[in-house]
Amino acid sequence: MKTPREILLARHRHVEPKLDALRRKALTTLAQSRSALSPAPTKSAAAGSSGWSAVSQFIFALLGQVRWHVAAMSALWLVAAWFGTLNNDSPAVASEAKTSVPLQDQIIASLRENRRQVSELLNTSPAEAKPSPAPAALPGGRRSERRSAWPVVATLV
Amino acid sequence: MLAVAECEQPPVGQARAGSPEAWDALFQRYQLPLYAYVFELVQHEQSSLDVVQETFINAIRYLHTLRDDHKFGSWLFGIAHQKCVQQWRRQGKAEVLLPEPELATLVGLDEAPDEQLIRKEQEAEFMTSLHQLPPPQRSVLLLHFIEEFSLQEISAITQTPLGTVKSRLHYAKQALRTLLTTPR
Repeated sequence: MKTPREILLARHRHVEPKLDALRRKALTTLAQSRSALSPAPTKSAAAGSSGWSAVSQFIFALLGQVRWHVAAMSALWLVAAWFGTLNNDSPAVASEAKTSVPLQDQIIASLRENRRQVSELLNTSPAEAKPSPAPAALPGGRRSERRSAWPVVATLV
Repeated sequence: MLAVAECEQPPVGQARAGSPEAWDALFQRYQLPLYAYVFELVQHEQSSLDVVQETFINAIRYLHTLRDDHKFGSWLFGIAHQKCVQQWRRQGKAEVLLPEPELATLVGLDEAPDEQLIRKEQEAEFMTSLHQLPPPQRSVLLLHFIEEFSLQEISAITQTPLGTVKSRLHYAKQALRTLLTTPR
């Protein structure tokens, strides 16, 4: 006497070698799918690499979505840069412009000359010319002092 | 008595972690019952082997969708059942729907498959009788016999309402008993 299960399984025992081969094939598929994934030498390294891979995947996905826009923008920038080089001055002019930059001494000399001319106009000798007074200090200090210096404003306020 | 499906704890957790040994153990445990189930429905050796192979590969691919590890067996048979249904559709065979008996008349459903012992000289008759059943009833009866799945599990595997499973099992058992007890 046998149970239905025993009868059913016994009827297919002869297929077991084929089933074993199928099993091995499925396990090979499993191994291949595991090796297709990134190897994980350590847990922390795996976590780090998975994090970086996620970020890089995100960036690549983002760039992939706007790749035509990026290409068009790059082309525009290249054209603009080309026009920029065409419209630039010649190298000689550029170097002249560089050398014509006034130096600090020249500026001081020109200022002295300007001051001398002003003093001549005012009929005073350059030696007598007093240095210009320092500009009046801006109202500072405490607010009450400033109010006393500007009474009208203080009353208005 | 523990059912066949419950008496062992398959290493589903380890398989989920990607252990090849665990997968090997799982496949070794289920390969023959799965093949027997598929073959008795499809009736073609190479097609049955293909279905089993596809079931294994899908199990590897979609194990993460399985929530309860204890239901691995019924989940695996569910994949195989769907493959069989696809096979039937490819062959142009529709599921034969017979009038289901009234639920009120159902009796003897809790009878365990082990209690239905078959004599050696009746084995051929048993198989012939099994093949005479329409596929939906045969499917339910095979799941009941091979893995002793519960009615709820069979309902989940075949994606059929529980009442329909009950009536199909009852009808199949009754038909089988009639065929076996009839003197020839």
